This record gives sequence, structure tokens and C-alpha cells, in this order.
Amino acid sequence: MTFKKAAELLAVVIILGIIIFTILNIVNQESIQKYSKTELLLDTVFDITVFTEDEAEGNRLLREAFNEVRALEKTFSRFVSGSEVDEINQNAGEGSVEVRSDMLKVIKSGIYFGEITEGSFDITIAPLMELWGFGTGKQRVPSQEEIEEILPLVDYREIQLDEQRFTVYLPQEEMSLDLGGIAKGYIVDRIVQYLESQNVEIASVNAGGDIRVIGTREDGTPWRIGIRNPRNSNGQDIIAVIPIVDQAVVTSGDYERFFTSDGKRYHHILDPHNGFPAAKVISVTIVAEECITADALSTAVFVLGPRKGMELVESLSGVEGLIIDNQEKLHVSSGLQDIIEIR
Amino acid sequence: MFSRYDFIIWIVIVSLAIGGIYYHQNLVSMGENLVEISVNGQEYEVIPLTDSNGNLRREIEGVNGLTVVEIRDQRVRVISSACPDKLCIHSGWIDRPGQMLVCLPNRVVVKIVSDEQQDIDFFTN
Repeated sequence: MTFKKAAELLAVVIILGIIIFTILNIVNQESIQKYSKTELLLDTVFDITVFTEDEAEGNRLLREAFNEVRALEKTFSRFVSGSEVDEINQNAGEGSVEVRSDMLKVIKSGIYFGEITEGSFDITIAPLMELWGFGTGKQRVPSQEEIEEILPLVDYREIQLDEQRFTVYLPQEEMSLDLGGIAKGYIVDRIVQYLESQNVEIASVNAGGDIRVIGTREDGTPWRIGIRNPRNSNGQDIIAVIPIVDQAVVTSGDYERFFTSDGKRYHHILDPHNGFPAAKVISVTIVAEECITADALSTAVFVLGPRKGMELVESLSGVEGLIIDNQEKLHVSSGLQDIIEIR
Repeated sequence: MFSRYDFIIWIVIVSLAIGGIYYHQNLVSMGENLVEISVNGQEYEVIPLTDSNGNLRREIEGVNGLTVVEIRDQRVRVISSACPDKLCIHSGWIDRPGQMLVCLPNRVVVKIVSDEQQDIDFFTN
């Protein structure tokens, strides 16, 4: 073979190689696509993103997932009349109410989180929230007497749950359930379970900051969650980045819902023990395998404060946390220390 | 046989192939940032963020009334809205993909989106 022939052959091979590489590159990039949908549900912005190869499949998954969210919303909202929560509250002091297994599971979890947090998380907090006017739009600072009158009604240990008959009973007429601190997380978990059952390998569900992801990002790296700086008036500045894979993240902050009275700020995370807004921390982020856990614990740790809160986080397996105390000092749990990025 | 003209043709083919790869990669990574406005879950308008070098205002008809959005210097904010708590206005400016401004009572969502992989995927509350 002459030199020229060899050169010619080499050139052909190289060019074919380049062409094949380019085609494969394009095909590969087009094989997996991102499909996402945003709806206003559960009093927040609900966003679901799935990565699949087929457009029809992507759209079907999103449609089915949102149907599920809407169905679950009807069960859990305290403000939807005729919902199961509403039924239980209406029948407080009168009789037990038969509920679906979803509801039984959420109430059971609520009681469990009440137990492990010594009542710092309490799903019977509704009468107290109402007294302060959170959720009604007419917020005010109640008197000490009013609070003391309400406090005995806030006690998750009073809930009577019959797991055989699927019934729930609140023994005092003025008691009522508020599943707001836990139902959103449960719904996010249910959507993730649905997507996993459909063999989705990459997806994210974000219910107004209650976030859970399936797998890693498309490029194989962990998803990166930006934690908002709680004291930046700009409101979109981040203080830390937490990488997650197959996990959930929820942040509770005192800046989310609040009102001002006589120049003092009052936020919505109330301490079930004394009836006032918890003041030891300003932001708590919890990372957990399930969103319901992250949801409940972010509230509970906020109430418990940095020391007891961190003790609780460290005592639970698969749970990590970032606490920003009222001096704006950051407390990072042991499992996050090596991977968190402080900005 | 391999003549001088063959060489020229080969060089042209190789440059086209390399040029094609380069162009394609550029095309993929060129995903610009878009401002996606929706009312009640329905798309209302999509505006490239880069259009805002001037000063852009949009009056959006929500369910309770108007939400006025300002797009300026690659940033977006809500300057007035028909809602009681004005949380959307207090949110201030947003400028990164993934961030959003929400006026729940008026059912208006303003979101910055991009096809490109971002440094941060989600922002907590």
C-alpha cells in the first residue's frame, strides 16, 4: 500500500468517526427530555419535573401526578369543607369519623412526630393558629388569658385513632386538626412513589419549597438546593447550598408568614407549649429520605431551638439539618458538614 | 488516485464536520433565560430576559385584578398586585433560573426558566 493510499484511508476513517460521533451525540441528547408542569395547588406553587424518553409518556406522567395531587388536596385541606379533616373537626366531641388509609397514615405520623419531639410538633395546633388569626387573614396578638384558655385543647395525645376500624375521634368539642405542617410533605412523597412505580429514574417534586428528588441530575451529579438567606431583604439571596440524591428537603423560616403589631413582628411557627411564636431560631432546613419527615421536623426543630433541635436531628438516622439561630449563627449536623457549601 | 483537488474536498468536509459539531454544541448550550408568566396554571406570556435591557412592564390580568411586573437589567419584580398581603412585592427582584415570584390570591406566577443546567436546581422557602 502506498503512503497516499494509507493517508486516504486514514482520512476516511477519521471523517466517518467524526460524523458518527456527531450523530450519536445528537441522538443521545434528544433521547432523554425534561417535562415539567406547574400548578397552584395546596395554597402554593406545585411543580413536577420528570425526565423521560417519550413526550407522550412525559405528559401522561405529569397529568396523572397532578390528578393525584388534586385528589389528595381534597382529603387534607382544613379549608375545604367536606374534606376528611373538616369532617373530623366538625365531629370533635361528638363522634368518630371514618377516614381513608391516607388520612390514617398522616395522623399516625403526626402523632409519632409529636412523640419524638415532646409535643414541639403538634397536629392539634389548629385552635391556637386560629386564635392568632393565621390562615384567616385577620391576624392579631391574643392576650395571655386567651392563650391559656386555648392551650389545653392543643394536645396530640388526646387524638383517638382506631386502626382496625379506620376511625379518628377528637374528644373535646373545641379541638381541631391542622395537617398543614405535614400533609404537603406526605403528598410530595405520594407523588414520588407514583413516579417510581412508573419506573421514572430522574424527577423532582417541589411543593412551594417542600422538595423531593428521584435519583441524581441528568448529568449524574447531585441536585443542588439553595437555602435562602433568612435576613436578606432582597429575599432571593442564598446562604448555603445542600447537595441531595434521592432525598427530600424542607425549610421553615420565620419570614414566611408573619404580621406586625405595635412594631413587633409575629410569625406563624407557634410553640405548642406556651402558645407564642418560637423565637430561638430564624430558619431550619431538614434533609431526610421522606418529605413528610423533613416537613414535620423542620417545624419541630424550629420550636425546639438550636441545641435540643440539633440533638434530635443527630439522634435520627437518615436525617440531617441546618439551623440558623436568632444570632444568625449556622449550626450544621454531622452528616452535612462535609458536603454543605456555605456562601 | 489522491489528487490535489481530493485534498481540498477532504479539507472542506472535515471543516464542515468540525464546524457542525461546534455549531451544535453552541446551539445546545445557548439556552437563554426566559421569563414565564402564567395565570391560574395557564401560560400567559413568555419574554426573553435579555429583552429587558430597556425597561419592560407588563400588566397581567389575574383573577382579582392586575399584577404589574417590571423587567429591567436582566431582573424581574412585581411592583403592584391585586392581593391583600403583597408577599409577591416583598419578594423583591429575581434574576436566576429556578426563581419565581408568586401572587397566590391573584393566581399569577412569574418564573425564570432556562434549558441549561443551572448551578442551583431549587430554592427553599
